[in-house]
Amino acid sequence: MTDQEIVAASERLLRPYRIREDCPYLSEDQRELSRLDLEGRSAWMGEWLMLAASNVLLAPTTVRSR
Amino acid sequence: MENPYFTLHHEFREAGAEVLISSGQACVAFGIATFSKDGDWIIRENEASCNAVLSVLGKHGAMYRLGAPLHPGWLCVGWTSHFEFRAQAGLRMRTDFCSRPPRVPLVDNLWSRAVKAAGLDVVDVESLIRLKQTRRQRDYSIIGALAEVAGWEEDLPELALQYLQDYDGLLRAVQRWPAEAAACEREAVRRLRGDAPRTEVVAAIAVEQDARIQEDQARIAAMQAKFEAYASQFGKLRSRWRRTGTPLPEQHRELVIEAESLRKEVL
Repeated sequence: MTDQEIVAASERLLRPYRIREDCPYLSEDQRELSRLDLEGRSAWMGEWLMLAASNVLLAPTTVRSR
Repeated sequence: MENPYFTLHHEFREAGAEVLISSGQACVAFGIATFSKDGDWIIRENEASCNAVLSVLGKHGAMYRLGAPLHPGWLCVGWTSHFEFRAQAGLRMRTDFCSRPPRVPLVDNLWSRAVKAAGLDVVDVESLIRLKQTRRQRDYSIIGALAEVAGWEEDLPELALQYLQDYDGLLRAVQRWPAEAAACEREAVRRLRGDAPRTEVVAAIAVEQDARIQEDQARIAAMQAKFEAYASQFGKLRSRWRRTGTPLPEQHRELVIEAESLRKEVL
C-alpha cells in the first residue's frame, strides 16, 4: 500500500460515495451522509449541533464519534 | 448552518496556522459520522502555527482546559492543549491540539499524506484509523467502517485485512485477496486462512481490540500520573480566570510559567 494509494482513497472519501446497505458498521444516517458532498456533510453536522444545543435528544442509533 | 468546527478550521488557516482536522471531525468529513462533539487538530510544531491558533481562539473568548500551553516546547514532548468557548446560539465549542499523536510512528507522513478539499485539510484515512485505536470501545466500529469504505471499497487489501472488525467482512477480504492475506500477520486473518471456527476468529478480533484498549489506558494512566500535581494547580488558575474573565493571551502567559515542569516529562 503506497502513500499515493492512501491519499487517493482518502480524497475519494471526501467526495460523495455509496455505502453498501448491509455494511455492519454504519446506519441509514451514515449511508445518507456518505452520498452528500462536503458542504452537505458540514450542514448536517451544523444541524445536529443546533439540535444538541437546543437540548433535543440525539437519535440513539447514530454512530457518534469523538 | 455550516459545521462550526469546519468554519473554525478556515479561520485557523486564514490566520496562518498549519493544522489538520483529525479524529471525530475527520470522520464527519469522510462521511462516516454525522456528529462529533468536539474538534481535534494536528498542529505544526512551530510558534507561528501556535500563535495563529491562539489569536483566533482569543478572538472567540476561549479559555484553556486542562492541558499544556499551546507552544512547541510542550508539543514536542507529546503534551496536548485544550480550549473551550461559547459560539453562536450558545454552542459549546471544545478544541484539542497535538503535534505528535499517539500510535502514529511517522509524524511527517501525516503532513505529506494530508488531503484537502473545500478549504479543509484532513488527515489521511490510514492515520485516522491509527488515531482511533483508543480506549473507547465505540471507536472500533469507526475503524471497521473506515476499513470498509477505504479498504474494501477502494481496493486497498492491506487496510481491509488489517482493520476490518467483523467476521463476515474479514472472511470476504481473505477470499478476495488470498496473496495479501497470506502475507498478513494479523491473528484473526491467520485463523481464517487456517479454516478456524467462527468463534475463534471472533475471539481473535475481540482480544486484539482489548489489547489496543489496554495499551491506550496504560498510556493515559502514565500521562495522568505525570500530570497530577500540575492538574491541581491548573484547577486553581482556571477558577481565577473564570472569576476575573482573564483573556486568553494572559492565560497563556500564566500557563507557560505554571507548566514549566511538564517540559521535562517526555510522553
